[in-house]
Amino acid sequence: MFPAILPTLLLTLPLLGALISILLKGEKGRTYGYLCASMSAVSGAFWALYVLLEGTETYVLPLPSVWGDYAIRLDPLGALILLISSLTFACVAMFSLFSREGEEVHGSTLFNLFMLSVITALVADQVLLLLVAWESMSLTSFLAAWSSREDEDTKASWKYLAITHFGAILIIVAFVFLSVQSGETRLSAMSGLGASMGSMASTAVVICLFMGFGSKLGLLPFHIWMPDLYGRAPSSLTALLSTASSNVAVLVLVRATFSYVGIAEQHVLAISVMGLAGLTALWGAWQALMQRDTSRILSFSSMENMGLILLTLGAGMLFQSYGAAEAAGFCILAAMFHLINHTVFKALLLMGAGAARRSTGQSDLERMGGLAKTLPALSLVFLIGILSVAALPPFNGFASEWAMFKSLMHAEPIADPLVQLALPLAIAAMALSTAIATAAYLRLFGFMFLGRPRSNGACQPRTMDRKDLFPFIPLTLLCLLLGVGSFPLLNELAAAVSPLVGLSGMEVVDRYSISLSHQGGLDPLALGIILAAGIILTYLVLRLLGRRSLERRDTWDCGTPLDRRTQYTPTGFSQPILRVFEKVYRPRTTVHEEARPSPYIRSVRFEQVLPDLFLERIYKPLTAGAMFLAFQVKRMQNGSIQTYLAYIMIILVVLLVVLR
Amino acid sequence: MELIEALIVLTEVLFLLAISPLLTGIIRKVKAWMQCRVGPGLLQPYRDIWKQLHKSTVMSREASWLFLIIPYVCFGAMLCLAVLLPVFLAGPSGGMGDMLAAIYILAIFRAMMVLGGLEGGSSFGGMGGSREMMISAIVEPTLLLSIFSVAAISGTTNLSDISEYFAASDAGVLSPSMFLAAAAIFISLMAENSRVPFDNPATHLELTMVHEGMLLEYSGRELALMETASFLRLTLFMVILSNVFFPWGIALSTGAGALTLGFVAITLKLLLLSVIVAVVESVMAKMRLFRLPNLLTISFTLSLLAVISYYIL
Repeated sequence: MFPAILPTLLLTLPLLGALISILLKGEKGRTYGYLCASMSAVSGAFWALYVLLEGTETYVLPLPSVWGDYAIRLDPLGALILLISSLTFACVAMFSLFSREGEEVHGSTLFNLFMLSVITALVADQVLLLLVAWESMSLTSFLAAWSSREDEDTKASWKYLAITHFGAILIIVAFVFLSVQSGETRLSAMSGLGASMGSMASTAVVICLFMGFGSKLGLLPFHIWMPDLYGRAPSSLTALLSTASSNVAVLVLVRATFSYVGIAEQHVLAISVMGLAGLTALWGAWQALMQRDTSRILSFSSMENMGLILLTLGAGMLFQSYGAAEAAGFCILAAMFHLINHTVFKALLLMGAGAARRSTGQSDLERMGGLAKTLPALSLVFLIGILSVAALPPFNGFASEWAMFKSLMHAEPIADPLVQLALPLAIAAMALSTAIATAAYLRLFGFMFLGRPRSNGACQPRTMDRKDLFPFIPLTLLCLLLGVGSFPLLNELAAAVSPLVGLSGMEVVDRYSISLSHQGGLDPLALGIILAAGIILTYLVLRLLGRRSLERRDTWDCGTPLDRRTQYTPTGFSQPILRVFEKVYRPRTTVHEEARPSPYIRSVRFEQVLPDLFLERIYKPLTAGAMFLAFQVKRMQNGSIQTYLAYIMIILVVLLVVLR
Repeated sequence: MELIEALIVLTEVLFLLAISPLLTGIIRKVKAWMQCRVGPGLLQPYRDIWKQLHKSTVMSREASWLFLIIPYVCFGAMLCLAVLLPVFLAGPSGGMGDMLAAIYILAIFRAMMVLGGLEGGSSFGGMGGSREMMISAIVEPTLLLSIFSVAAISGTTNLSDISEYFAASDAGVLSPSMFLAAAAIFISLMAENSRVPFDNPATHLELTMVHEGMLLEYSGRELALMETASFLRLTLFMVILSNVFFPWGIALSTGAGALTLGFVAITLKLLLLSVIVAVVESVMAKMRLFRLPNLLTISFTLSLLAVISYYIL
């Protein structure tokens, strides 16, 4: 059968790629490894398209069965996510192939294994398969981060491992509980289990799911691994962690919450989810503005975007808990649309940051600048990524952020004051975090690419070949395409999402405009055309005035020649917002002033530290407590035989008394 | 869209383009009178633009390919916004503008201007951009929330439909949340368009500048574009404020009489708003930069109250 070959290729090619890159050491193994990954991604994309055309497909893997059949299943919603994830995998594989990042370590082996586990987790229809794939996703990404030579101290990777395993425990608990409750191991056979479990148990399961998957998405307070890992790991890994593995986490979370468990009247739970997600988005935006490292900025931006997505999903839960199925459907649709768009622009940006780091040897924003003149092509694709992530029309981030805002505007039919207070506050949180995040993105682009170079590396970056730019092109085009012409995608999404809320279908595309049930639609295509027409018309009209003469002179310098240090710095750029939100950042500022004989020339040293509140307030006390307990236990172990004999004696006596 | 509607939209855009330098001229003139000066003539902004359009451009050595594109993008974005807004005519044939889209188009202008400020590598540009981002971080949520309250009352986010809804209904529809939202939008108008007390458009002193700092490296034709786009932005804000909150007089059908009335109404409203802006600017002092967040937070709170009071009352 023709389509059966596609999932087979999808799952076996990465295995083959991993094997080849272990066996054939060196350049050849790397090349073939990444080629295998790309081909697997291509077959994944074709399988996803086939499923979108023909409907859900299920296969049983020929593996020895321990706990039910190992089935894989691809439904339309999964297919959409698989399609976009495959595209990312293909682009990142090409990027890694050309960029020679992680060359000396098992980069391509781990890439293939990571890809295999992400895809397996995406299509798994069996509890054990899902959990094993999830675990292997964490382990392979940990190994890739840990063994990369850029990672000098391995603390970041260990932090990631610890948090992600805490999440994994919660996920295992939730899924084993669901499986036992339903007596099924197939995920697709579970639905609406919440009704039989009772509200306490289903609330506990939903909390476990949100915290478990949230640990991968950077939900507060599980985000602390993200900046450190993103700052150190190779960009090919972070581009995948932020996109493909987040996609899987959100997808399984949505399915589990809305379908497997089902939403009962859990208003408070939904509002708590929205509150936590809103805080996550705000925290991500606030922190993104203060970082110096390009990858750390993007890691907090992922946190912000995932916060927005979870906020919208929480609103969907709220609507569903009041029985407003259509409004809930719009929320899920908007969140999934943003997830897909986030995949496109975040992969583009993380790859771009990696390319800039490779070219200049710098990832510190304070040491970059002026790259738009030396790497114009990279600056163009990066700018498009920035405009998308900053949600400016006509790019894709705008379309999905519009949909998310619009989906929160359905408070009207629900008379409960709780909802009517929660939704405006959610919109306020969303608006504030996007506005602050926009500042962070403009700062990222402005100080990477504009102005004067701030270090030797940035002065003379290694030039990029045409083939180095090739992986960026599909993502850049998608940023524009999904921005102006996302109608087929939205139709598919509407059809795929509506069963989750118990509807048979939803209308979201009205001829050429996106319209949710709240009045007023968005016509992104016409908007894009008008915008482009305005720009072109302006250009043409000014051409009529005749050629103008263009001179290049020095920047206005007030008489003092400018050098690389006399520009605004990224730290200075974000100071006003730091001052406004001082209560949030709680900066520790010290100013040392040294006395000099002259009152006019003073030597002043300014130091400012932004404490990591979550590390200091939550994690440090926790680890200190754990260490304290460990030391208390250690006292028992004093190494003398007599003591241990005494312990054995005591235990024996206790056991005899208890079990007699 | 029918031919007549396309023609009306075209007329609206040309009208806004033509009147926006005049409004700036009026604001300057009224401010001059209040300071007991004669002030430049009302047509001075037109003369300035004409002169700049014919001067040669001097561009910083540090600037990249983006520098010369930015003015066109800014101006194009404002033209696009002018197309989206209902000016003379509201209702189903009045336009396709979505309010959220309008806010994001304003964001394009701001983003591009900030990037333009960083192009030259001068301290002024970075400083202007940094301050602009601080202001916009609070103004943008304010605008969105105000719109949310208006959208909740009228049941749509389409600007033209909102305008029609308020124009067609009698004064009974006016609720406290409308006034709160209008106040919030007025404060945002002053902040976004760099008016006193947020910024002083007449100064070139680095202690106070926000908007001028970002334009410092532009000259000639590009400066003319940026300046005109800024004039246009002020006018568009006034159009939003008048046609969403006080839409009386706007045409609801494409009849000649209604359109004439709509034209006269919007002209009068724009003139009145310019005078109000000028008076507010004259009676207030420029605020210290770090006092601004207080005022901005007030407008943010007003808009939040506007939404909540709609649901509670």
